[in-house]
Amino acid sequence: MKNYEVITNTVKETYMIVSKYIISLAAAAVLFTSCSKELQRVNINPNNLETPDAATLLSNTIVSEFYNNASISWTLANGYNQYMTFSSSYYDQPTRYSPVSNSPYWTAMYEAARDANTLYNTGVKKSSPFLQAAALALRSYAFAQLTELWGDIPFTQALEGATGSYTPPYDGQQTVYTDAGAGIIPSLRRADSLLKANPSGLLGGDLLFNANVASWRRFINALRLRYLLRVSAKMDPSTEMQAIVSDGMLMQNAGQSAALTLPTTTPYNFPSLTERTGDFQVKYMNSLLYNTFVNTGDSARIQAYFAKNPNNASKTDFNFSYFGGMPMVIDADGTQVATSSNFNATFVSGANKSLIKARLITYAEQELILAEAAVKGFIGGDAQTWYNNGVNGAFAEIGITDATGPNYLGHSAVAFDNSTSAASLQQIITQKWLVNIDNGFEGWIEFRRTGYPALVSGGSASLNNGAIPTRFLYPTDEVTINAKNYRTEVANMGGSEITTYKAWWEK
Amino acid sequence: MIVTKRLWRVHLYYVLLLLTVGLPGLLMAQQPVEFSGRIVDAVDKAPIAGAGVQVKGSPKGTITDAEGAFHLSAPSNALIVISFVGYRTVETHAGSAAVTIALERDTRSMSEVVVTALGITRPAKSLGYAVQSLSTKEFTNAPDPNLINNMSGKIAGVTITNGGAGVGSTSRIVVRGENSFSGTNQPLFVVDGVPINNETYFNNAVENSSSQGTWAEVDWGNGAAEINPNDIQKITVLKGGTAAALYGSRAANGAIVLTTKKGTGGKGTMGVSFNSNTTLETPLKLPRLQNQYGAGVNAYPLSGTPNTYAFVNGGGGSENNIPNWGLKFDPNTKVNQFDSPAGDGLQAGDLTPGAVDPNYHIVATPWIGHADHFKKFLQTGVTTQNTLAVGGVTDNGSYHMSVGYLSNTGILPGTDLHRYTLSLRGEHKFTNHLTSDVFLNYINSSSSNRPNIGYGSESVMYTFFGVYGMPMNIDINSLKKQWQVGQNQTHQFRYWNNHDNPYVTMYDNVNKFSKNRLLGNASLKYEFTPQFNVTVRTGTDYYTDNREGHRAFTTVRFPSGGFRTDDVTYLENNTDFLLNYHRKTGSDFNFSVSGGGNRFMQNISYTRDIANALITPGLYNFSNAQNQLPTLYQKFDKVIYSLYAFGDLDYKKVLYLNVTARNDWSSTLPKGQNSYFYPAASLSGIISDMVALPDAFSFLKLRVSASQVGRDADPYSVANTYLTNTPFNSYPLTTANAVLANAGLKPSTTTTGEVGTEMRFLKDRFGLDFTYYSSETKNEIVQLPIPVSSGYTNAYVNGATIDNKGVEIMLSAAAIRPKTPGGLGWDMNFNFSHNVSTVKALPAGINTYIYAQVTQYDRYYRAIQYDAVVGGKIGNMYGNDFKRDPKGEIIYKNGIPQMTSSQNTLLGNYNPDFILGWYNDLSYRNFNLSFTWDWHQGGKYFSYTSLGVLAGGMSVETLPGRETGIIGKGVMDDGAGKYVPNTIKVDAATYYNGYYNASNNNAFMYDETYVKLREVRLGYTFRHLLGKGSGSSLNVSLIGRNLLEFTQNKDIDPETLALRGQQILPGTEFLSIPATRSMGISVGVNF
Repeated sequence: MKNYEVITNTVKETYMIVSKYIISLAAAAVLFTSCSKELQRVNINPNNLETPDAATLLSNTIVSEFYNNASISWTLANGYNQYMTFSSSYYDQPTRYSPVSNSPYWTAMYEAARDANTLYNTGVKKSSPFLQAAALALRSYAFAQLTELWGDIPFTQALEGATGSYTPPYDGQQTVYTDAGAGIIPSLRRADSLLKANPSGLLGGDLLFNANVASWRRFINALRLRYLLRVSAKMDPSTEMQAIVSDGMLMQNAGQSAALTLPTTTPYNFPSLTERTGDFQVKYMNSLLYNTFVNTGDSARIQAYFAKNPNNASKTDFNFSYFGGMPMVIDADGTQVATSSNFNATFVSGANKSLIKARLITYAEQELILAEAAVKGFIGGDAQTWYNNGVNGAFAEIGITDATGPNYLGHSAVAFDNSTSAASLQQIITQKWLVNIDNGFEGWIEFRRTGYPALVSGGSASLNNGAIPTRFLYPTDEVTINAKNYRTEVANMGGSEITTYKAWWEK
Repeated sequence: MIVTKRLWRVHLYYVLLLLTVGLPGLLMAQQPVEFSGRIVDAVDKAPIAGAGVQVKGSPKGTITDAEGAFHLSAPSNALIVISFVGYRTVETHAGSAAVTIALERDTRSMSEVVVTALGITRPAKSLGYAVQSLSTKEFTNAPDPNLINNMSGKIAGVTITNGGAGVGSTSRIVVRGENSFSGTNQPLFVVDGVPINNETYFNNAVENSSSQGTWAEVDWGNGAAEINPNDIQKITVLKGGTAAALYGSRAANGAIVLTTKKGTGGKGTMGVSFNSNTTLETPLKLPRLQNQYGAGVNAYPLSGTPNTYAFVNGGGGSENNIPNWGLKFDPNTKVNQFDSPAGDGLQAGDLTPGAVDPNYHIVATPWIGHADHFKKFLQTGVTTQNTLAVGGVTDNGSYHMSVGYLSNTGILPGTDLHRYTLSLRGEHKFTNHLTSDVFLNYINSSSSNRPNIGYGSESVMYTFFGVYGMPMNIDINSLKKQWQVGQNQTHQFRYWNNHDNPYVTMYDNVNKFSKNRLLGNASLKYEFTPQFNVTVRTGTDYYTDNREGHRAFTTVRFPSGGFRTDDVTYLENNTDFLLNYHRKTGSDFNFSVSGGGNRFMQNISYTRDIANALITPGLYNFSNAQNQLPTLYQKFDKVIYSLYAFGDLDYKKVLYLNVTARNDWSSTLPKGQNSYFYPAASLSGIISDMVALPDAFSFLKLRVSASQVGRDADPYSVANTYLTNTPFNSYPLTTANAVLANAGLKPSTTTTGEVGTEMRFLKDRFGLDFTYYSSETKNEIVQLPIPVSSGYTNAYVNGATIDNKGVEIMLSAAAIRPKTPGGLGWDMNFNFSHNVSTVKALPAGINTYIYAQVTQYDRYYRAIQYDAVVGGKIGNMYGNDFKRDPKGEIIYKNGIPQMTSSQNTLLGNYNPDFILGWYNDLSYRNFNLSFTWDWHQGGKYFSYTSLGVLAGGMSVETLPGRETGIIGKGVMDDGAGKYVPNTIKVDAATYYNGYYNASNNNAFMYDETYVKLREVRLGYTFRHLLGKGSGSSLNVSLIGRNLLEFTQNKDIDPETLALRGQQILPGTEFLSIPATRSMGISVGVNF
């Protein structure tokens, strides 16, 4: 074999190999284009929608607000409002006003507000007044909860995360109620006028009122009255309140309350239905509630809500002494446990459907708002009529027979006392407190506004230096990851975050 | 084939070329001789099977058979190279006389061949970065059922933490520190060059609630745990980015490369081996429980009425009866208890509330302690592992087959694990140019109950040691009854309504699974010329994991029982090709270049069905559901294409340069940003071959390398979506995904630099390998928590920078070298590592990033937070602490310790300051002893078990002052703003409840430092069982794991992981199953 031949062959071979290489590279290039398409296709999320769907988003927002209200009522707010006492220190620290952030509820309300906001934008895009109005109502309720529980909150620049704005600054509470753009009161006003102008809306997904525009207007107007009254110390509500009353689009009976019947099975059931026995058993009637029932001769509601105490469990007749309230304790002793009432067993069985509903605002509360407004001269009309409507409506709300309310109104401590406006106010707010069992923090919020009923503080009732707080602490997330805005807000409180800061209307 | 012939001509050309440039005439035609002999171990004279016997500079060679014998036809006087992993290579000249060649052991041989990325083997000496390997012997000394645990203490730079759910739980392995907040920081596992899955896929469980219908989390075990260690020839850990760069994104945390066993021995021979290990597991330690006081809220108040315990008819007592601040045990004290007789053969716990017949009267029984209830509840665990393997070499290849069976009975009654493995590796040579290599592994794992762990009544550990754990007066034997009389499967027999009967938990409320997994790879290699070849390879890891949960009626969270199924299907395929060209130029420079590409595809699907209430007790079927939730079905798909190339250049075998480059295209990144390139280079020089060093130095190598590895995002993180919630009645619900996607995501990059040296002294008697590395991960993609006031809870963003710096030191020593064959020999090595992970930057505007939390349900006010703070270390944990005066004394108020209200106190860091492993191997005649010590220094952890036993008055540490009251040690405000010593006495219940407040995280922080005798093996080998000269042997050994431990916490093992929010988290002991000590016997037969 000659050398040059070897070399020639080698060159040929090398050429062949290289050309094969090039061919395969070209093939690879073709392959690559299809690969590139595959890369895009593979990353399309098969599990979720990429565009919002109005009907299902509306359903979810309604469910979220109602369910979370029922859930927080049962686990925390009933304690805050002093309807309920936990018997064990392991559980009761938050209900004895230990400064806590209550952050899961904060999260739930901001997320509901976010979806409501998306719904509103969808409604604008679709030119659907109904969707816009429902969205405004639901967003306003969420923000009202936030500001009434925490005070000043991120508001005007909140919910903008999708545009890359992750850390919204805080706004004063006044802005939250009154901001012309998104404020609670202007939003609700706009919601009502949208519906008034477009009385025949139709939309899927409305599991609350089945797309009944009138029902939505009643709900919206009841909320308007609630929040107008709330800020009435700072802002004269008379004109708008009177306009609402004159317009007449208000709830007429308990059947028109903003209430959602929760299913009996998880995950949206009333929490007592699926609570561990042990968790149910540590919840007792609070002494304040017991005393109020006794002092007003309210044998109907005490039996509807509570069970006889262990000492009298086998009694078949009724006597207030068979029930008992538990004061706010660190740990209850044996005597207290034996003489205090747990909640009624229907809270576990779900037999009484009207007790396990979620309610945002009831006919009864609306009437008591009007009663107070009349007493204070914000609106014209007879306070007593509204008061009586409220008291009667409260019984109707939880399915108690028609005769009970009028009887109850006959009790000397219940019959409307118009001797002084203070006396009237105390009665009205006390009855509103009784109406709002299992309705969020309304009792505590109204106590902060009016001082009624006199919630117990000091001693073992308060882990907050003996005081009843006016707000929850901001969630740790705000402290750590919205730190700059948080610090600015805390400077308003005097340099450190306190639970007795008064934001606007309760100053 | 014509092509073949031509190629042979090419080959010849090179041979000619070699000749003309005047290489030493290695291949010069000489008369061949028949060279034969036997290769033995220089120390114990045992035959070495599988040793390579190669004509130097020629492909000609063979390997020794089971008896160490070889036979080779070689040119007379040709230089023969004899090598075997773990031994020093010997060169000798071929002759006609049979020889016996003794190989010296080499604890960290430089002739060692290391499997690097893509399954390519390279001489260890040429590597410019740190790798470390373990041979079968080293990781099967006292085998743990989880492959990962067998590496503990043996690899510098690797942190291994055993899981908390007993045998079968997930172990965590981290190489050179955490460089990511999200994800698991797990290295990539590779079998024969093809990646496999090591993830743990959790059920979609709910941990944030104690209410009904919430299924707790279960640890189903990590993927790599299932590989039978006996099928593995070698484990190589590629620690740094340079080593792992070619494996791409998933190797950004290093790579654990497993090489499976091949058939060895002489042609036509067959080797059979059988290994059997049986071990018994007992708890390493248990919480020390007091046996003096039983249940009760406060039996000895300084004032007021005593609050003591009595079982309420069938009601199970109220919540506040359960902590152990009750009456002192005294047989003369009689109390109504759940197992007190109630007439008619019934006990108090048989009486159902509301249905109590007034004729039944509970007869109070003596108040006596049963502090051994948990100990009695446990059983001795038994683990057996058997592997039968057959291997051999045929005319055209080799094969290795094995069948393995692992069976475990856990220390918790009713728990078990079964695993069958079947593996096959075969090589076949079709022609002189075409060879194939196939590995197949079928694994079936199953369990009749994987225990729930963590917080809540689903977890049996919570029943015993959660807050309000099982009171000291409860007799566990009484609970064996399980069901109330006549109420089988419908009413539990128990002492309290908030706890399940632990036997019901273990025997009825089971979490079963059966997982069938097939993994394997096949490759074809075609050699165009000896210098140029192409390999095409494909590997798949496919499994289906079918899980099933049962809950009996009257279970705390499932009053009407429950049933669920969760099915995970996982498919991963890697297909690649690789072209290699290597050239020995004959000059001082040799080089090789390679190029290839890979397609990675991963499909995961998850299906869940749940019924949270059943109709008929004991029937677990969806047709028996009272109501069934809608099926949840989720899919996660991902594809990555890669192209890569690498080259090696060496100069006179003293200076090595290695360069690699890879480009990935990932489906998870947005278009236009889905391509990322990363390079790596390393250089090493054998200084001892370049310059004359003092005699004491037998070897000195310096190495330096740098690399970058890119990493992509999670699937579906570039477009915002709306999630579907469980429908409300018949209304479907959607809500915005609270995690914001990001269409502008970029790949993150980890840049690593390392320098190192390898030294050997006194004729290789001592060796030192030192590495310093520094890595920086930039643009880390995090699911950044954002204030929910923005509407969202998290956002995918680039932006975190994490820095890891550390050193690794490996010391090896032949402490005692046998003076005579079979004499006493002692080899040891030390593996030291120290790593610091620092957060250098967080995304703009964010100062703190909470990347994980451990909570009791959603009790956020009792959370341990894992916060990343710029400038802070990764692993820092935050929470509540005592209020302290300026001197650090605890501040008391009314005699009770006070607590901070913000959760911002730095409680400690879970990462150790250093880890030191000490591996020893001693031999004397036919005896062998090996043992490993594992020392973790520093780090802190939070213990939920300690919280439970202290806060619940169960611990022996809560005995002082029970009846007399306690004045806590600390200060109090004197009313004028001055701190004076606390003088206020409170009763014991008040004091301990205050001091061990469940919200006070810092009361339960412990030093994580521990020293463990990780494993011991003492064995005797009977040789030549089938006659003299035969390779058959029998080894009988005593084996043990976790035999001794020294640490601060006397109640629990600090080496444990929390399972929370579908994450395995270090730094928190979350009501783990007690760690075990295992002891047993191992028998191995080879013939």
